[in-house]
Amino acid sequence: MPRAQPKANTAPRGKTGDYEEIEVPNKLLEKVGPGVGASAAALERAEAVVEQMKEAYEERMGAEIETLLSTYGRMRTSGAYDLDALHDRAHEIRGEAGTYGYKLISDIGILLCELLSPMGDVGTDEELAINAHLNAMQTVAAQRVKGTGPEVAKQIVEGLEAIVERSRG
Amino acid sequence: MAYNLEHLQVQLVEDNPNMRALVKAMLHALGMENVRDYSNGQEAINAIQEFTPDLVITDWMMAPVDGMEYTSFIRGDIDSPDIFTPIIMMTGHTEKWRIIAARDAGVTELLAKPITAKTLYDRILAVIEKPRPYVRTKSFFGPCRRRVNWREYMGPERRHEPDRLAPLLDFDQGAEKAAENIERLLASL
Repeated sequence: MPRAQPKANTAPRGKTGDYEEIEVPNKLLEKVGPGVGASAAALERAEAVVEQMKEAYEERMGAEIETLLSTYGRMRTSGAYDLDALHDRAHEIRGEAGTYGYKLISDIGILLCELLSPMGDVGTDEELAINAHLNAMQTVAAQRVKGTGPEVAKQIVEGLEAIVERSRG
Repeated sequence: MAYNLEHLQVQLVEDNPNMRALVKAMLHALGMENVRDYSNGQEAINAIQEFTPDLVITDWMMAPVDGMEYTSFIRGDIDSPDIFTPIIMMTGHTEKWRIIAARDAGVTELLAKPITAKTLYDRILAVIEKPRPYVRTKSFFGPCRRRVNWREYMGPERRHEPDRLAPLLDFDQGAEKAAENIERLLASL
């Protein structure tokens, strides 16, 4: 599918110059009135949706992390590392885990992304560092640790933070 | 009586099917009944003439057309049905350069991942209640990048001083803190 190529915009823009300020009618406000303000009931319904969908997430959470592990395993075996793909996968896991209250998995995902972002060649040290993150994520998922987890979880994160810090040189 | 969101036409653009389903369900729960979802910016472009959105909620990283490119389409393409369409960009990327880039592309609001029902609702309310004038310069078109007291702003011209934001940016404190930091950053612009 071809990428969209932005073209010149010829919409009316008023006078030309270095700086032009354009007041725009608030069409959204016109459409959502005459009521005003937030609805506590609507927010409660939306929060309930997250709770309802959390169960399905918990069922697939472990599988998604296993997929990440097996993808990395194949890269190790072949020696052909696609760190961008690994990063993107970790990034997705991080976002979704956080949304459903698995903050510790999300935090480990953040650290893994920070580890992978500047990484160039993958040697023994880098492999160990990636392994440490993936194993931690796998363990936390298996234990279904919600929130930030117990004290030991804090120590795990501190250990991973030290690894990331060291990898920065 | 609160806002009635049921008549708003919303485009939701997100490549992760699970996240897309979740956000769409949250939008429905918030009362938005006219939500159409797409897995990337190209799909949204292809559909925009038959479903002109009042509001776009888009992810950043997608292929073949990502959220930034889609924002450029809305703000600057001759085929854009409304260059003033509010755009909420969802992103888990909280690096400083990305936030600045999104703002400079003409994004109206940023929504940090992990998303909660409250942060999503707050951003929707912000585009309804706190619209900013649009600004066109030689290098920018989009909502005014000054988010606070833009009418009364009398301070120095800081358009060319991006590093002034550095003290606000410490994203090593986890996802929730990152969301807070984005808010602080945006409020300071």
